[in-house]
Amino acid sequence: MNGSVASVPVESDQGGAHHVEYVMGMAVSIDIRDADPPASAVADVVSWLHHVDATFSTYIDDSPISRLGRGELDIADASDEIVGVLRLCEQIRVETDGAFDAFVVPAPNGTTLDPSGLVKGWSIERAATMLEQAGCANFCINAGGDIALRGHPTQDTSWRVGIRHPESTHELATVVTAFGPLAVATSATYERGAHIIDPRTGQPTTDLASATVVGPDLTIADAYATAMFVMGLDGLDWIAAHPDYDAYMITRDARATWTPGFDRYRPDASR
Amino acid sequence: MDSDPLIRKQLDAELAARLQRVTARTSRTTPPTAPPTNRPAPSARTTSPRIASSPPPPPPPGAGPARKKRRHPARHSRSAALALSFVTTTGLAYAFAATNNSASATITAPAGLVGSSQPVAAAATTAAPNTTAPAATTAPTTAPATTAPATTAPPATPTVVNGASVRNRYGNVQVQATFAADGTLTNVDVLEAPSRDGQSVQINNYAVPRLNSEALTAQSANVNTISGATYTSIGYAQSLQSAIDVARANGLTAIS
Amino acid sequence: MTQWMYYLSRSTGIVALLLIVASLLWGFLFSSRATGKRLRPNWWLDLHNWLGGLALVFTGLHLATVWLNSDSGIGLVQIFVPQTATFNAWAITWGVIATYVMAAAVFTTWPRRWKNRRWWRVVHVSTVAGTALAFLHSYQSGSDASQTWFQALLVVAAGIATYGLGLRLSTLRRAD
Repeated sequence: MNGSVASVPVESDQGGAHHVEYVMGMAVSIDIRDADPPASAVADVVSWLHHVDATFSTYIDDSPISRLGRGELDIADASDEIVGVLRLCEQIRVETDGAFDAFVVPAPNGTTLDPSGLVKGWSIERAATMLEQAGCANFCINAGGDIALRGHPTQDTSWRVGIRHPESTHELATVVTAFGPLAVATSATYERGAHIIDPRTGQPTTDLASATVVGPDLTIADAYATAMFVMGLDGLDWIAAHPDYDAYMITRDARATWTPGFDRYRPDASR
Repeated sequence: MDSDPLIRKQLDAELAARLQRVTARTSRTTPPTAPPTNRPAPSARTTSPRIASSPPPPPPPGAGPARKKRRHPARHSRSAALALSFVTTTGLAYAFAATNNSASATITAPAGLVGSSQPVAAAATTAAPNTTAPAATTAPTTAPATTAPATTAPPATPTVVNGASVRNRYGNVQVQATFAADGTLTNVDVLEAPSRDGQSVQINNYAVPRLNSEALTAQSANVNTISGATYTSIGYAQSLQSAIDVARANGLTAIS
Repeated sequence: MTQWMYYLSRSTGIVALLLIVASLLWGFLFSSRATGKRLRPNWWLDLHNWLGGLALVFTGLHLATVWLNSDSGIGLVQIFVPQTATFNAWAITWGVIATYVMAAAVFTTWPRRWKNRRWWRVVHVSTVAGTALAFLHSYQSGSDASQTWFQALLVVAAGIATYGLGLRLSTLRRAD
């Protein structure tokens, strides 16, 4: 998709820069709160995201990932980026005991190679690093619900990230309150028809309405959120063993459960 | 997460093996066969049940053969019941299909609400409720292009902002966010939702227990951004995000 | 395709319920001899049986369309085994049980009526409970349950069924 069509710098009166880009099939909001961010920073991130889309989209038939899945591209000829991402996928598959698996679930392009569950978080994490290297310290990137936070929105205030309520469009289930750096990723099916397939069984998962993972790295958080969604409530015990990552789950019957560590992100909810 | 070369080598070997399985599977399944979804409907049997002369006549699914002697009322009532059932079924199905599209519009956005809050907001952000070009063929996020209001003084009244109309696989999603004077997000209405959203809302309409662990509404306020979208259902969050973005950009939500 | 299965699953469900009520009423009228001038005409019983069979056929169509609607989250197991549905388990369970009861009533009558009249009767009488479960199922899991017209339909249908039941109970003594 051509960036010129859906590339919207949003005017801001507080300094900083704010930009919404439609890429990878979603709106990516880049919200920089630093007083005077370098002009090229956002542009670089935007072109990076389009590059990721072109490389990893399973909706594009001749993207490298699609060709790799069909066997038209040999892994030996694939870019380091692709190999690196697939290695990460493989590591996380082993780690999650198959609850996250980029190699078995049917993708839109007709193959069963689909690292999307990790690529979104990975690309946003990289984008955050790019902004940091460009000298930005306080920003929020939200890619369709996968969020990378750095610093704080204004002096002495923390970021507040709303977690959607699965059924009610009016409400939030909870709010994550934190200073950056932090990653928040949510895996969910808000429509009844939308399924996330359990790679271990090939069947749609049924337990959860959404699974949110909070932690230091969005690449991992994104993949873990997918894995959590598949594991269901069992995933809470699994992720509780990872000190840096916490999860908040909403079941299909609209009950919320979370790891003990998640409470630290909810100062106003603890009673 | 990269580890030592030996483990990496193992990893790559495994990677290659799994990729091979993917391509093998793909080539096996590629021939795009026509969807074999049409399974034969449970066909009504037309074999004739034995008719004894005994009183209890042969019952249901079999349509009885034409009886010669008496043209008793049952024959007509039978076919009448059958025809009526099928007509009702198809009629209802068509009615459902016809109403489903409009159902999405009636979910949460009664016209009155829009009308009532709009005039108040008009003073502050006439421009913010973006002109939603219906069925715009261009990509969705063009919408929040705002002609900034003349003043950025926070209004003392609630402000209504329309989010961008975001297209996802199932159709367009557009929400309308209401912000209180202090910039908190107080309400979100769905202006437009794809029919599948409409379906899910209808299904979920009854007796779904609320999240029982927490008070929800109290926390809806003061949010920077929202998590909880997927590749398939990102429209809502995107549209809301864009509404928040627009409001913030206009100095209406000093969100913190 | 899936969308149409969804619409059809709703309409076949509604029609099946109405057919159940019609069959029930016709059966009650028959057994309480409220069949007009002629006592217990054959065609009356024939129509009762026909309606019952038709109700089962439409229940079958309902199950088939629910199953074919990949969004319903209901597979073969959920259709036949109570309490296996992950969503609305009880509502689905009522439907499953009602289906079994109705099927039992039909197949103990057709193609051949059970010799053991006593048990045949027990099965047949249990359809009253089956009908109640079908109503409960409609109200709890019907996509249209929040619609006024649907609720009105349920109330009217339930009224008709209750009328039949009342009629039958009031004539209990002189019936066979």
